[in-house]
Amino acid sequence: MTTKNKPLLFLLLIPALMIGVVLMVAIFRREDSTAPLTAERFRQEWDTLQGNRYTIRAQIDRQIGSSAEVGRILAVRMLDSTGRLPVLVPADKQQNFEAGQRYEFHVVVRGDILLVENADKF
Amino acid sequence: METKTTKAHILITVFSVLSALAIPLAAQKAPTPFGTPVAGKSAPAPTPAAQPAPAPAPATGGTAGDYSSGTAERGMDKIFDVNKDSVDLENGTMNWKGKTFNLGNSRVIRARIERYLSSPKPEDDIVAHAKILQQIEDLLSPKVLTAKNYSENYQKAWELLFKAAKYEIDAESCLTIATLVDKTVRTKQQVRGLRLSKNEQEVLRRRQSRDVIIQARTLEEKKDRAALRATGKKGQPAADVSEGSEELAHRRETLGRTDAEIRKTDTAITAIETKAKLEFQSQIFMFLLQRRFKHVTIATAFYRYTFGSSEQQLRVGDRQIKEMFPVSNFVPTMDSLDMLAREALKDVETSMRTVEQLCDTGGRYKALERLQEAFFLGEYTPKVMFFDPEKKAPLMKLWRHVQDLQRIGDERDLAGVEEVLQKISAVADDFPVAVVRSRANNARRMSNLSVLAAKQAALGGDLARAEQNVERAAKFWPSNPMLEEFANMAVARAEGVAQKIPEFDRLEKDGKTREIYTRKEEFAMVLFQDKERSEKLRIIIERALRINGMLEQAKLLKKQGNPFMAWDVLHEAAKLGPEDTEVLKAHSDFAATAAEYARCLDNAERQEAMGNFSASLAWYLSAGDMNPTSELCQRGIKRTGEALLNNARTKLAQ
Repeated sequence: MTTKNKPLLFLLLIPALMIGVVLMVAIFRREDSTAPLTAERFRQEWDTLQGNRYTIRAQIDRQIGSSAEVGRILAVRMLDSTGRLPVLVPADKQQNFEAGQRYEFHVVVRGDILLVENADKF
Repeated sequence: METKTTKAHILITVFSVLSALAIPLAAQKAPTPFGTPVAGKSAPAPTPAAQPAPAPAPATGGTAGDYSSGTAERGMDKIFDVNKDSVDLENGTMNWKGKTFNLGNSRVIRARIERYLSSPKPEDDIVAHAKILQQIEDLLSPKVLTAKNYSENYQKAWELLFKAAKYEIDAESCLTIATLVDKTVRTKQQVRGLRLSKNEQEVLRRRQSRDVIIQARTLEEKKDRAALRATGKKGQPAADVSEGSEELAHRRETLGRTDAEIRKTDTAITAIETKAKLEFQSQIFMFLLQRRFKHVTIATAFYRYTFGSSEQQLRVGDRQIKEMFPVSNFVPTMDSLDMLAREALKDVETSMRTVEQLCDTGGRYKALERLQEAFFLGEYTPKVMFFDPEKKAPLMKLWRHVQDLQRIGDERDLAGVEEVLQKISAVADDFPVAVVRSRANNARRMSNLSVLAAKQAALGGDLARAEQNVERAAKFWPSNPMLEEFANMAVARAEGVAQKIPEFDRLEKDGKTREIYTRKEEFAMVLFQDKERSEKLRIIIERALRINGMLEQAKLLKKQGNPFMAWDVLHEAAKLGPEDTEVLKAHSDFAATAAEYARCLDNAERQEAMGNFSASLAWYLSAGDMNPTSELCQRGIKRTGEALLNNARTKLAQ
């Protein structure tokens, strides 16, 4: 390989590396996240999503009800799609939820209930 | 004492004769016994001017001719309550100056006014007659009469009476006056003759009385002389003292007869004079009652002439006249009659002026009212007779419409009122249309309410009350269509009790409540004695009424551009009557405008019914986003939220 051919090699390598990085990111994201859950999808297909976990970014609309043993039911407005969904925050989650706050909820579908496993405020 | 009794007896006789004469007098047709005085030809007419002691010519005043005196007229205004003047066609009466005059049969007087309103321009005869009457009145007017022309004017006026009597419109009233005047003149001649013979009798009486006194004195002296002779010359035979006594007795008897003759003549004079006055006054009073006021004034003027101003006291109808002048100590005279007649004529003229003015300004209804009053008071007065036929034509139209309205009112045909009112409004702006319309509406409403009350009573089984209310409804409005409907229902009930009950049961079982509601009246009539079914019917009707209200509300909301709220209302209605055909129809009508919202609510309810409260909640939230003010959604959210909390532990444990 001559010194004269080195720039050409770099020119070919750089796009190949970029493509490789993009593919890696795509593969990584696919393996690491759940499919997006919309309000409409939940309402229509909740019984086919049993056991699935989702992360939903939402703003707290209001608290619909609460129970010391069960927890609280919150109506949250989806930020990445339209509509509202009810989520159940178990009683052991010692967090304060107030209307207007934004959270990233990690939920699992149990029956027709969206059970909150984690909620990260943002 | 004896004389008084005789006079009273004569007066009574005269009154009874007069009462018998009253009608024939009015109808008397034959002219005077002294030929037939034709106008222009002076037949051997009675010459009133030649009569003794005529009334002094009232050229400038005096009781008899004081027409210009304002005192009487001012008194009239105070005495009479003119506000009471009115015509009552129903009773055929007319109230004038607080006194009611009977006009006769109401149908006849209606015909009379209709004939008057539809009559064309008055014929020439009427004009000519009115002119002659005016001429007579002018001749007898105190403004014209002087001491010089007094007798001459009366003579001319008397002759004109025969001319006036020829016209049909006069009904020979003037002839009656002329006859009375003639008769009175003759009576006066007769009285004069009696007075002359009475004078002669009194001369004779005086002579007879003197003779009796002389005879008595002679007889007395004779007795004295005989007594003296008997005491001085005893043994001489006594002279015969009874000589001359018989003659004295005869003379006394003759004197008594003459006295009786004089009294008889006196009585005859009084009776003849009284009779003449009564006849004249009766006729004048009759003219007044017939409302021939011109004849009253003319006859009164002749009365004044024939009897003089000192003989003015009213003997006939004084009680009636007194009633018209409610003043204590009032003494009715012939002038009272004259004054009344003139007042009536003045009233008629005023009324006719008002009529003319109202016609010109468009107040035709008021004009018609005033014209009726003027007509009935002064039917025979020129002002009324000459009223412009062109102005009468619309009044005639109005009169007929008003008569129609009255007939409708009598028959209580309330449905026809509006049509007639519109016709009346087109002719007369001033007719109180609003008042009549309001009364008709009130009567209609009362009738309808009574029918409803009757229906209710029938439903409750209170047939007596139902009947009472039907009677009441018919009283207000006999042709009320609701009454017919009610009657049909009653008939239907009688016919269909047997078949309606099973039909009701079947419809109720099939959930066809709307059909039951539609036929509620017929079922109500049938089931009112069946408590169980009546209660079911009541519930169905109440529910249907509520549903109807909701449907109306939903339609309104939809119209206002709020289809989701409309759907909520429909949703509630559907809960009340899921099988109600009207609700189902509305659902399908509304579905297109609120399809997505309806889908959300349907899903929410379905999931809730399946126990999937979280899914149901999600659907309610979605519906709530579309219709944030929906109470239905809010209730659903609250309800499913609570249910979710209650069931979450079980569900999560699965």
